[in-house]
Amino acid sequence: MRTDKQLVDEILAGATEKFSVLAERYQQQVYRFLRGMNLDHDEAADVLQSSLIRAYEKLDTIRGGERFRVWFYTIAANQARNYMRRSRRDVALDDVVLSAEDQNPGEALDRERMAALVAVALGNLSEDQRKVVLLRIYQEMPFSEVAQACGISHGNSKVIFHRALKTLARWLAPAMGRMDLDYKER
Amino acid sequence: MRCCVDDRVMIEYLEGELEGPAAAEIGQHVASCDECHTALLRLRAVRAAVADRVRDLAPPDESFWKANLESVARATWLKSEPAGVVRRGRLRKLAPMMAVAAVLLLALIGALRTGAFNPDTRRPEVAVAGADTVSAEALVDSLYMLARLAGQYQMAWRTMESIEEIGSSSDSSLYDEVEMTYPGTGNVYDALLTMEDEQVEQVLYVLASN
Ligand SMILES: [Zn+2]
Repeated sequence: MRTDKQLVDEILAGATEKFSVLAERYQQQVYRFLRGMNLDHDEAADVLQSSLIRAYEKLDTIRGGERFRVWFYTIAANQARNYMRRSRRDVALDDVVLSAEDQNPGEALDRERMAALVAVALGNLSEDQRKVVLLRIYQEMPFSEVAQACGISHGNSKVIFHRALKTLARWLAPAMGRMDLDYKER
Repeated sequence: MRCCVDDRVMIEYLEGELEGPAAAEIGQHVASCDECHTALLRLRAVRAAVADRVRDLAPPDESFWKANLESVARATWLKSEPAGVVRRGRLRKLAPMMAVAAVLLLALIGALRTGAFNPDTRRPEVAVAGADTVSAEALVDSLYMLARLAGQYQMAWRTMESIEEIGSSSDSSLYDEVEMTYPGTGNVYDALLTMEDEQVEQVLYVLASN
């Protein structure tokens, strides 16, 4: 399999059709990242497409050492921002948390409700926090890459992550109380 | 989660950001302190819940991804080149005679495309400067057959399309005539530079079998 770097070099050397290989490699994970950023399907599809087009047009601006994946997330996050500015969604965290508390104590919160609760909690984080959390937790990026993708310092990416995780833990506490603490990441 | 290990340190530990000795210290403490142990499990559970939430999103089906790639292709490489594309002469890697032969193959491809080549009618005009050691006639015949056998007609089409793109900047139409100069800067020669390595390899393979 060709590395991203090889593909980028080949595209810039004229094998432009190789861009489809890069697009295919990242379209699914970036789509999910965008959904995690609280865009609905149509919005995520739209942002995904415009991000890929922009990445192609700006491909020559990747400088030595910068990796396509991180760079592409930067573009996707910026494109998503335009969307989020246009349609601000305010989700009522309290409602969801309360409804989670309503459930019979001692009963584990079902997966679906947990997912809904997490979605709302993520939606209530600041955009920067949400971005950092998703890149770190879902995309499993090291903080150095998270920082690069967000255009912030390494230290700042950690601080934002710490705050966000603490905030999430606080919000999700009522549900966590009954959550199976042996819950493992699959 | 108030306890003996600071939240910040606990998160650093969770994220694997602590140095070996520091991590070992927290690890030992967590193993013996219920409060910290629970705090760590909760943080881990929050992390896992976030990862699951994103993973569990119903993914669009295959056709969505395919359609997306097609739309992107139409808006990108099928339409234009990104900025900063530098074409390097791959041809330089070819031995001069091979290059001449490759030019001949392209001429043949051009002939196929324009319909000029038909075994029953006339042969395409082939003129190559410096091709003293190559029998153009024989090469064209064998290349034609080999190319056909190898099912490379499609490749020929693609190559012709890139020749056309390059040709469109000048006035000469490749539909009418295949212009060749070697080792000059004619259209066909330029077109060779745009061939993918794989295509060049195929050309070389074909030539090697002659
Ligand atoms: Zn403790």
